[in-house]
Amino acid sequence: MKKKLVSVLLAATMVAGVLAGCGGSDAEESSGTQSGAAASSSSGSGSVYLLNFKPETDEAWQELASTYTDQTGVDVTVLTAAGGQYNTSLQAEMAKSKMPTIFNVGNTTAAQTWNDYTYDLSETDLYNHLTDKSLVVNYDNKVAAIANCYECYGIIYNKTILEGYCGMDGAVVSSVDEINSFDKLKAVADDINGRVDEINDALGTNLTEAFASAGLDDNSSWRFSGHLANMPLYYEFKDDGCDLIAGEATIDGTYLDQFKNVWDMYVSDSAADPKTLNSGALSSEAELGMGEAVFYQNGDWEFSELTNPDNGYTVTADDLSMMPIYFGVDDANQGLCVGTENYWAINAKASQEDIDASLEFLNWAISSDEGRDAITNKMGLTAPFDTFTGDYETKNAFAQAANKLMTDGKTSVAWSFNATPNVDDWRKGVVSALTAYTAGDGDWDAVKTAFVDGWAEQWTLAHEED
Amino acid sequence: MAKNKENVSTVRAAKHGWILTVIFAIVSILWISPIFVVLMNSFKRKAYIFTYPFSPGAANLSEGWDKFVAGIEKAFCGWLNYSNGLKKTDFWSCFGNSLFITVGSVLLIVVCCSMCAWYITRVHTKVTKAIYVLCLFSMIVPFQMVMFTLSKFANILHLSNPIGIIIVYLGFGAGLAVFMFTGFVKGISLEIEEAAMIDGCTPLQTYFRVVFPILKPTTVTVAILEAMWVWNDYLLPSLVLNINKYKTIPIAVQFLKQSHGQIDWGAMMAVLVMAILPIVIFYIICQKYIIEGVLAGAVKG
Amino acid sequence: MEKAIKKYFPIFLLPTMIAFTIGFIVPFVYGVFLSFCKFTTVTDWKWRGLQNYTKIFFVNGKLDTTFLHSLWYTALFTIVCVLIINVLSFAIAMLLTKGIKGTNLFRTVFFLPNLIGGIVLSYIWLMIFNSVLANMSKTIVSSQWTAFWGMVVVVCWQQIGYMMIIYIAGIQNIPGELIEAAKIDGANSLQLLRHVTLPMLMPTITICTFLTLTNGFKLFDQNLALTGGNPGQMSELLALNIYNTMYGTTGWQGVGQAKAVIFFILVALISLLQNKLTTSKEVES
Repeated sequence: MKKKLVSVLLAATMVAGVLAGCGGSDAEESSGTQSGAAASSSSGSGSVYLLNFKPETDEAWQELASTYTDQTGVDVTVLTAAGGQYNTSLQAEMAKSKMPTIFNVGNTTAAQTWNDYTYDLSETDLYNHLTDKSLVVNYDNKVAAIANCYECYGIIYNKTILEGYCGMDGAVVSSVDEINSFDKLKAVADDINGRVDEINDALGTNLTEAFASAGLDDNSSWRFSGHLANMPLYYEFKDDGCDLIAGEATIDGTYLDQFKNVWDMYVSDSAADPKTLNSGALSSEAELGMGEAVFYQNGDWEFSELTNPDNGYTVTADDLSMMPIYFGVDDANQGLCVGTENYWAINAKASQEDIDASLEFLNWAISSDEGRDAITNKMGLTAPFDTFTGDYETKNAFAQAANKLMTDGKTSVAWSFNATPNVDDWRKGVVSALTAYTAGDGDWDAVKTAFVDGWAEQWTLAHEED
Repeated sequence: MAKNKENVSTVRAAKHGWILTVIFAIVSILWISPIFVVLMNSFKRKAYIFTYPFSPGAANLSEGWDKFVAGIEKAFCGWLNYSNGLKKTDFWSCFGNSLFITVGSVLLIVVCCSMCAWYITRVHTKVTKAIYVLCLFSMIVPFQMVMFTLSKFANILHLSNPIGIIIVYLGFGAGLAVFMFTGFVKGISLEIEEAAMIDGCTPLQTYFRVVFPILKPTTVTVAILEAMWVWNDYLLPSLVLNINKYKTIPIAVQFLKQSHGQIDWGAMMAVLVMAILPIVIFYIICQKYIIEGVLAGAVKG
Repeated sequence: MEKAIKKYFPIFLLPTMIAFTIGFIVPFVYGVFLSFCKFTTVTDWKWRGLQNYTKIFFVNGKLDTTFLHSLWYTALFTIVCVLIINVLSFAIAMLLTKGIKGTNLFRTVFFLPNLIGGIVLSYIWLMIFNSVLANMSKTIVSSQWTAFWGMVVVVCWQQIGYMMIIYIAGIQNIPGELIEAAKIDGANSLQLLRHVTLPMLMPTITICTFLTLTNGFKLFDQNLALTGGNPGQMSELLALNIYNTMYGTTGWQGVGQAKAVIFFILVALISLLQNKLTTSKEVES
C-alpha cells in the first residue's frame, strides 16, 4: 500500500509538473513574441525564410541554405510548395507569424495581389546585377520582383532519332532544319507515328509514338493550359498592342483554331488513349527519356531531369534539343518561348533586419562560388545575372538552343500566360473542357468558352476592388 | 464481448459453416489485396507500375511463363523505390514527428481531459455545466469551421511545432474525450472517493490513487480513438505545423505530388508501404484493445 | 467533498480549458465573426455584412452553382455511402456471428483498412483505379461519376470493417433465448431477421447510420487525394470546396469562412436529428 501511495504521488507530481510546464510554456511563448521581436531589432541580424516555387530545386536550395548558415550563422529556412499549390502555400504561410521573407511572384496579377507585401527592389545589388532589366515585375511604381532565372520552353525532341528518321526512305523531310512550320511538323509527326514499327526496325529504336503523352492530370495539364495556351494569348496580345506580359481584361480567342490544331496533333500522334489523359499514370518525361517518343512539349528545366543518371533514362545530353512550338501564325520568325514565372520578391512586411538578411542571402546566392554552382549546375537554371560567367554559364542544351535561335534573329515568344487572372481557377476550367473535348464527351466550343469567357470572368474577380 | 456470448453464437453455428469459411477466406484475401498490390509494385520500376499493375513483372502470366519470368527480371528494381521515396520524403523524420505528436497528444488528452471530466462531474456549478455543454457542442463543429482562425492563432502563440500542436490537439480533441470520461465518471459511486478523502487524501491524491485506475477502460478507449485520429490527420497539421521543418507521414505522402513533372509512382508505392507498416504492426499487437476501444467509442459517441 | 475539490480547479480544469479556448472557443467565435468580413489574415479584416454569404451563390451578378453542386453532390454521396456501408457491414456481421471457423481472423482483416488514414488509403486506390479503368479508357477523374464511385469504394473499404464491429456487438447482445423462442414458434430465417433481429438492432442501426452520415458529410482527405475535385470542380465535396475557396483563390477567404458556417449549421442539424432520434428511441424501449 505504501509503495502504491508513493507511485501515485510520484505520478501526481509528474502530472503537476507537466501541467505547470504547459501553463508556463504558454506564458513564455507569449512573452517570447515581444522579447523576440525586441531582440532581433537590437541584434541586427535577421533570418531568412524562402518559400521556394520550384520543387525540383528543393534539394539544392536546402543544401545552399545550410551552407550559408554554416558560413555566416544567419538562419535560412527553405520551404518548397507542393503539388501545383504555390498560391495555397503562400497564402497559408503569409498568415503565419513567421512569414516568408522571400517569396515568388509569378506575374503582374500576383504582384497586385501581394502589393502590400512586395518590397521595392530597385535600389538593390540584385537589380544592379540583372543583365536584362526587363526581367522584373513592375507594379505600383516599384520593382516588385526580380527574375531569378529565365526559362525557355518549346518542343523537346530526340535529335538522334529524328535525324535517323530524316535519313530514311520516304521521310517527309530530309533534314531536321526543314521542319520550320506547323504544317511540316505535323506532316513529320504524323508520318513517324504511322511508321513506328518500320522506324524501329530501321534504326533499332524503341519508339511507340511521335509525341509523348499529353497528360491532363494536375501534374501535367499546365503544359497545355499554361504553356501551350500562351501561344494564342501571345499573338492576340500582340495584335491588340497591349503589354505582352500584363495582358488585357477580355480576349477574343482569335488564335484558338491554331491552338486546336496543335493540341489535336499532340493527341493523335501519341500512343496514349485520349480518354485517359487525366489519369496521372502517364509519364511523358519517361516516354521521351526512354526513347519511346520523339517529341515532348516542355521546358529547359527538364534537361537536368532527363540527363540525371539516377533517373535511369536512356537519352543523353547529346540526343536532346528543342524547337519552337510552330503555331501556324508567324512560324518563320518565331523562336522559343522565353520568360519566367520565377521572380523573387522580398516581403515588405518582414522586419528590416529580415529584409536585409534576405537581400544579403540572395546576393550571396548569385555571386558566391557555392551559390552559382548550385544554381547553374545543381538546379540547372539559367540565371539572368552578370555574375554567371565562365564555369557558371549554362550547360543546358535547351537554353543553348534558345540562345542560338535568338542569335539567328528569331523573336522569342513572351510568356503572356503570366497575365492569366486567378491562374488556378482559369486553368481548371480550360483543362476540364479540354479533357471532355479530347475524350469525346464535349465539343471544342466548350473549350473556347472556358478560354474566353473564363478569362473575362476571372479577370473581373481578380481585379475587383471593394 | 463476453466469452459466453461467443459460445451462444457457436451453438447457433450454421450447418454448412465450412462453405462460408471458404467464401470468407477468399473475400478476405480480396479485401486486403490492394495492400499487396502496392507492396508488389513497390519493388517494380515505375515504368511498369501502371502498365502491369497486377503482375510482379513487366508481363502478365497469360503471355507465357518465360515472358513472365523475364518480365519480372526486367521490372524488379530492388530497394530503389524505397531509397528514393525515403529520401524524397525524409521519411524517418516524418515518422518521428508523427510518433511524437501522436503519443504526446494522447497522453496529454487522456490525463488532462479525465481530470477535467472528473472535476466537472463532481463540482456542480454553472461554470462546470457550461463547460460540459461547450464540450458537447464542440463535437458537432466540423474542422473547416475553425481551420483558418485556429491555424492563425496557433501561429501567433508559437504553437507551430510538434510540442505546440499537442496543445492544439488537446484543445480541439477535448470535447470528445471530456464527454466520454464524464459518461464513465457519472457511473462511479461516490463512496470510494469519500472514503479516500476521509483518510486524508487531497483531491489530487484521491484522483490519481482511486479514480484514475477505475477509469482505465475509458482511458484505453479514448487513447485508441484519439491516436487513430491524430496519427492519420492531414488537414490540421498541414495548416498548423511549420511544414518546412515538421511534416507528418500523411503530409509527406501528399507532398510527394510534385508540381513540375508527374508523381513518382515508384517512390509513392514504397512510401505507402512504409506508411502502412507501422499501423499493421500496431494493430497486430493491440488488436483486442483497438476493437474494444472503437466499439465503446462508437456506442457512446 | 465538493468544496475540497473545487479549490483544485487550476490543476484539474485549467490546462484543458486553456487549450480548449485556444483550440476551439476563440477560433470558433472569431470564425463566425470573420464570415462577415473580408480578410486575408485574421488581423486585417474589414466588415462586409452579408456580402460573403451572397457571394457564395452570386458571382459577378450571376448565379454561381459551384457550391450548390457541391452540396447536392455531397448529399448524394453521403446517402449512397450510408446505404452501401450499412447493408454490407450488417450482412458481414450476420455471417460472422454464425460461429464459422476463422471468424476472428476475418474480423481482423475486415477492420484493418479502417486504421489506415484517408490520404494513404486514397493513393493506394488511385493507383488501382487508374490501372483498372485504363482498360475501359477511363480514369478516376473522367467524369464526376467515376470520381463519385471511386470515392464510394474507398470510403466503403475504410468504414465497412468499423461498422461491422459495431453490428457484431449488437447482434451478440440479442438474447439467445429470444431467437430460440422464435425458432420454436416456427419462424423461418427471413421472419427471424425481420421480426426479431432487426427490431432488436434498431439502436445499433441508428448509431451506424449517423456515424456513416457524418463521416460522409465531412469527408475531406479522400476527396483531396483521390480526385482533387476534378474534373473541373465537379467532384468537390463540401469540405474540399470550402478548403479550395479559403486557400485557393486570393481574396476569397471570407467567402470560404461563410461557406464553413453554412457547413457547420448543416452538420449541427444532422447531429441534433440524431440526438432526437436516439433519445426518443430510448424513451420508447
